[in-house]
Amino acid sequence: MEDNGVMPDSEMEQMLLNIFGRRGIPLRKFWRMMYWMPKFKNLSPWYLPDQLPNDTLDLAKLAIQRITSVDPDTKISVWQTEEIEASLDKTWIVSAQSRAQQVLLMEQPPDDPLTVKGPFIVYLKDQVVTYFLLLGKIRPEYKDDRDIDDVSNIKKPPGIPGFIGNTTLPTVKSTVHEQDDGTIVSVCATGTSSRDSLLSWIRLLEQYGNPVLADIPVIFTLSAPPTDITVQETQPAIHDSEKEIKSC
Amino acid sequence: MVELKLFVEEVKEFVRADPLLIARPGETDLLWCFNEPSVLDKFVATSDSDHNEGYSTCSFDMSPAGRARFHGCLDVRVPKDGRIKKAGYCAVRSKRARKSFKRKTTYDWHLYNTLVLKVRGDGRSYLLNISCEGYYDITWNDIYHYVLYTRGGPYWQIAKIPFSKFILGSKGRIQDKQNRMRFDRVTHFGITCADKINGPFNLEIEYIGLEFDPTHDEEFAYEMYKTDKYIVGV
Repeated sequence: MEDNGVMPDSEMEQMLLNIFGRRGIPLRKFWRMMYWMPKFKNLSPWYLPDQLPNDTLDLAKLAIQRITSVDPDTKISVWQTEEIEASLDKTWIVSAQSRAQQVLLMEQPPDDPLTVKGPFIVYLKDQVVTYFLLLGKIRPEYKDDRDIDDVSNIKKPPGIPGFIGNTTLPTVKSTVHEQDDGTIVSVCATGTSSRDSLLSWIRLLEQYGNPVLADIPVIFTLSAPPTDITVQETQPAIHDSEKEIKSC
Repeated sequence: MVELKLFVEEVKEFVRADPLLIARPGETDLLWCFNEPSVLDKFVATSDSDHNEGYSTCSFDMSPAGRARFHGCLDVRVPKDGRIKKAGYCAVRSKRARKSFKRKTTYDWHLYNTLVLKVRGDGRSYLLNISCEGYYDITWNDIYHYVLYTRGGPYWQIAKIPFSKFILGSKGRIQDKQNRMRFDRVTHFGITCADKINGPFNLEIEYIGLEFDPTHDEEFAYEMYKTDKYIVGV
């Protein structure tokens, strides 16, 4: 019973007590189940309902909510690719972006291309959702290696009386979106994880609040999907053919 | 020769007699920081296919991002040989710490009360196992477990798990009489993937460390009171 997550009830306890007796092994197993299962039930910090929805759109929304729970400011939007006239696929797109990520995207120089990485998988209990990332430029970690005991070049303190030190805050990695291999600008999941739906995603992002995407080139690096997930792609899934697409 | 050098270092350490007396709160002391491939040698990756009990595969290597990556494919198919009922597990475990001349020794974690892991998972839940083998053979299979829930996604997560929450189990079966883990004689630490979901798994670890959390004053999270005689613990 514990394999399928079913919790027994007191009627079952009475049945076991009557059949096997108070010191029997099945009743002891029942008591152990009643002790341990409630403790393990709600341990996960990311709440998932017991019955996962069957619809892939709801699953994708749950998955994106889970992934972007790092930044509570993220806004998750559901778009349809029909809003872009030139799209070939007709599907939904769940995209998540926070205001911090919009600001980070606006700081992207126009000659530094953005990359679309994917498909990655995330598990929700036992369902798999594929998602894609849009990565910006790499912002290296600011390392403050100044020797604070070095007195050869002390600045004259500013004119605030009684104040010693810096008036600016130290430069640190300000957001969680800045990572080693790039700045994560947005996360999305589409109905068909094909390149065309990703292209529609970029265009919709541009429409809904990121006008800078019109000038920046985007590189699509899509690795071959893992074997147990069927992805309907218009092109055959091969490793890493880099197509530079200028979204105009 | 290498062993002699290690022995000399140990004698020097003994003479110096400068143990770490308190762990500073809020600071994580790293046990294993996975920056270089040499740290990976301290771990062994096993799966049920190594014991002919299943078909899962796993490996523990360096990811292209420069961190340790425990990945593989979990297979819940039970092999048809009549004696195995359930299958599908993969684990990575640290090797036993050794002093000079290959003497076995234990880790001493009595200053700390929290385990800290910086991981990047794929949404699956992994089991953390801490093994404190004692001297007597009854306790050789005693492992303290807890679940590590991963968020999935590209963002790193720092998971802090206090030692008071670990559950005692022997050979995988949760024991009825629970007690607190002995911090000063820890022999192994491991991570297992056995969540009965068919499919590939991927866990990237940046560091595993220990921390002292002064606000956490729970001794042990589970009940330890005396119960009826021949019902519990038999």
